[in-house]
Amino acid sequence: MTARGGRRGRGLSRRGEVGDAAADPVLRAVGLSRVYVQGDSTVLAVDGVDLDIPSGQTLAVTGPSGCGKSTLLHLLGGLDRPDEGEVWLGGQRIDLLGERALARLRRRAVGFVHQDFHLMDELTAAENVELPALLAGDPPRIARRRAAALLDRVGLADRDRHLPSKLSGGQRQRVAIARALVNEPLVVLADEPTGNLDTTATHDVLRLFADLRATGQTLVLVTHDERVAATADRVVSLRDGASSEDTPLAADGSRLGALLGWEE
Amino acid sequence: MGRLLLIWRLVARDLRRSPGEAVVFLVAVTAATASLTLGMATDDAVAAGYLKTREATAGPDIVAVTTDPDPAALARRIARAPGTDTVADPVPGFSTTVRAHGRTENTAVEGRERTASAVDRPLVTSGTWVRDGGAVVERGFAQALGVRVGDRVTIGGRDYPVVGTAVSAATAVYPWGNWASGPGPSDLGGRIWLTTDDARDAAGDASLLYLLNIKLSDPGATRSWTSTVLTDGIRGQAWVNTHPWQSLLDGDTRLLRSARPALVIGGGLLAAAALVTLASLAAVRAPRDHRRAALFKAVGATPRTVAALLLAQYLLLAVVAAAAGVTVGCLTAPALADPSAGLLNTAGPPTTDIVVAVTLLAVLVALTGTLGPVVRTVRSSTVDTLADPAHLIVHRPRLTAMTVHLPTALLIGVRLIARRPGRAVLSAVGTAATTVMVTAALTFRVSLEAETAQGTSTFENIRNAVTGQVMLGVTVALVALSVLNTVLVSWSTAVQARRALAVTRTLGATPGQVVAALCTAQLLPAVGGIAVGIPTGVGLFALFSAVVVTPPADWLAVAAPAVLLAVAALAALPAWLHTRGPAGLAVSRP
Repeated sequence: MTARGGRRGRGLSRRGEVGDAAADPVLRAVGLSRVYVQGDSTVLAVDGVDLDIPSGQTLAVTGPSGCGKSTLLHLLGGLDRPDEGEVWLGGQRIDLLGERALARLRRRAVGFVHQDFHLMDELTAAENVELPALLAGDPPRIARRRAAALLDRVGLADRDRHLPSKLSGGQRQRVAIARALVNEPLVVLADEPTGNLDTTATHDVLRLFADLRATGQTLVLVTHDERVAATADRVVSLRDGASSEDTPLAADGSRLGALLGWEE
Repeated sequence: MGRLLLIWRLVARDLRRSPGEAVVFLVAVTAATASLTLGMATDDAVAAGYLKTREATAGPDIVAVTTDPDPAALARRIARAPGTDTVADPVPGFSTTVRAHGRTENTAVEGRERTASAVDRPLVTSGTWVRDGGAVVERGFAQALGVRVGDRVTIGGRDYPVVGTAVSAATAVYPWGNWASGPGPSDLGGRIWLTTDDARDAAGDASLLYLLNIKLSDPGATRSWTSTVLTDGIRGQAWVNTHPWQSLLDGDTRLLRSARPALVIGGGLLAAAALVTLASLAAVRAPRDHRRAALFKAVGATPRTVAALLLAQYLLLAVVAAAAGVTVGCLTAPALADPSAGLLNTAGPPTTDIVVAVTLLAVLVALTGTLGPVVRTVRSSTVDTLADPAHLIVHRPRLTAMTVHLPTALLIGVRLIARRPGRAVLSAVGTAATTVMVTAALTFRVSLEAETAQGTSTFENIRNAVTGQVMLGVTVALVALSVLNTVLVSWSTAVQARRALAVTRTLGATPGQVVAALCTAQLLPAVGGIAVGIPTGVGLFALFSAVVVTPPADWLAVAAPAVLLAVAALAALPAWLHTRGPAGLAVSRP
């Protein structure tokens, strides 16, 4: 897999469309906080998190269950809005955008991969993958062509007409990854992408992420699995919503190789 | 026994937890059952009202109207005839006009003694019985004239104060109260009582007719008595016209004949609308019921127990709604059955036919609306039930391929319909039911104008007024239920497609596009419903009406988009509520 020109350094227009403005880091959080009110009590899900994610970096966010990892991911991807702090994506501040502008932004700039895959049950693998392209207004023929290429890339070219119910967990997650990539996003945000997978499927997904990293795709992985986190360029640990540790890792691929049983 | 107790506890707990759903269910089914009850009970209510009035006023079995100059001799001959029980003293009367509040109507003026008669003793409902110089007006006629005790009426050029109103079973209700028209075509009109002296004075030169109120020893044998006993030997040479009590009752019922189809068909349409309500409720409840069923199966409940548990609540509510509908219908029927107020109102108990038909309708509606999800849940294996969604997943490749060429809102909307085509059909049925009734009401209005332009009798005016009121009532009930349905269907669509729509939003669909998609999912079936409903409404009206004029095309051209606009606006509300929050919250909610 080779890096495609033009992804690095792309920026966003005011309305959330991808533009050419140079921006580094590609994703930035400043003093990010999110409070949930549950009845009479409040839960500080994210507590003053600062993050700079350079373009092409793979960042793993780890921490125990309920520490705010998924909420942080939602804030970074514009799925939720912070109560305090700022989120910058591709050089544009996005936490002040309305739902409509955020939706437009997600179309082109963010690809999501969820633990539960969140594929449309009644659509085939190819139809699921092409959906974001159709929502973005791409011509159907181009959307289908891109979906076919991506399914080929994730090794599911022969499963393109299968419904999700006819695919294994690992295959479903690979379809979800292909769907996240179909609009060539600035950043892919993955929430426990291997949480529901067995060892073999986990390895398949991690191989895919390794390929993505090789192409220069910015990737944020939320995981509670230390072995998965160890495959990233950098690991941020969250505890009670706050960043407790920020550790850069050697970017030689050896940890992934060790995990997957490769001899590097 | 233990199983029944368990089911009862669970049903009671579910009702306490979701009282809103139970209330919506009850409202929808009660509307349908009440309308059907009304349609079936009005005839009974008229009969009950007439019989009650007849009993309270010692009503005659037969009334004989004659021009005989010696009615006392005729009365004696009749009294001696076999089968005759009692004949009251002949009552003199004449036909004239009465004027009150600027309105002139035909009426029979009847001369009565202040003492009670042996047969036909009008029951005073307000004021007093006749006195010198004072008139008593039949209650239905008084209502039509707009007069009350203390008002004044002009009879044959003389002014009389109204001293009372009364009801009687000796003639049919207004406008068939004018018994004194004599031979030839009868004038419709009312009935007024004066003292005998006042009546003779008011008659002036007009020839008097006489009313003979007759009681038979067998009240059911009126027709055979008239044909075999009241022979020419008894009648003499004079003109004698007889009216058995059965024909008086028939006259009272005639007013409601054209309103009955509106009630019965309206009941059917309301049942269709109620079906949509229940199916939407069942769809919203399906995941919860599915989960509950799975948990019961996991702890050893048999499919039969699970089915009993899931259906028990719906059936219980259906029976309650049937009881409520019958009660409302039977209590309302007397008011509808006596539009001229000429009879004593009575809310009689429902007949077995009504109870059976209404209960069947309620249970049928409940089962049709809910059986599908219940059977699906019961037939699934325990593991599948725990793991799978509560509906079958069907891939529609052609439709999916076609939608890729559509704008985003339409693409999502059509795919939403494809996920639940059954709901789209129900939605179309609901809209069609409302459109049928609205179109029928419009057709009635236009036809009425045409009929009025050609000239209508008092009876036709009253009949049309009653029919118009009934049609308006049923239409309003249907529109109200349709409003509820549109909101419910949109809400259930949004609830059931919550995860899919949330994912679509994470993939880049804007909240506006999602709202527009949910509206589209309602609008497309609504278009079909309107297309079917308009001709059906005109056709059904034509089946039961002599005069049919199709509403002008521009009326329909305005009405159809107005209905669609209303559907869109109502569907948008729950859709908007579901897309208000951030996409992240929706996608992460369990």
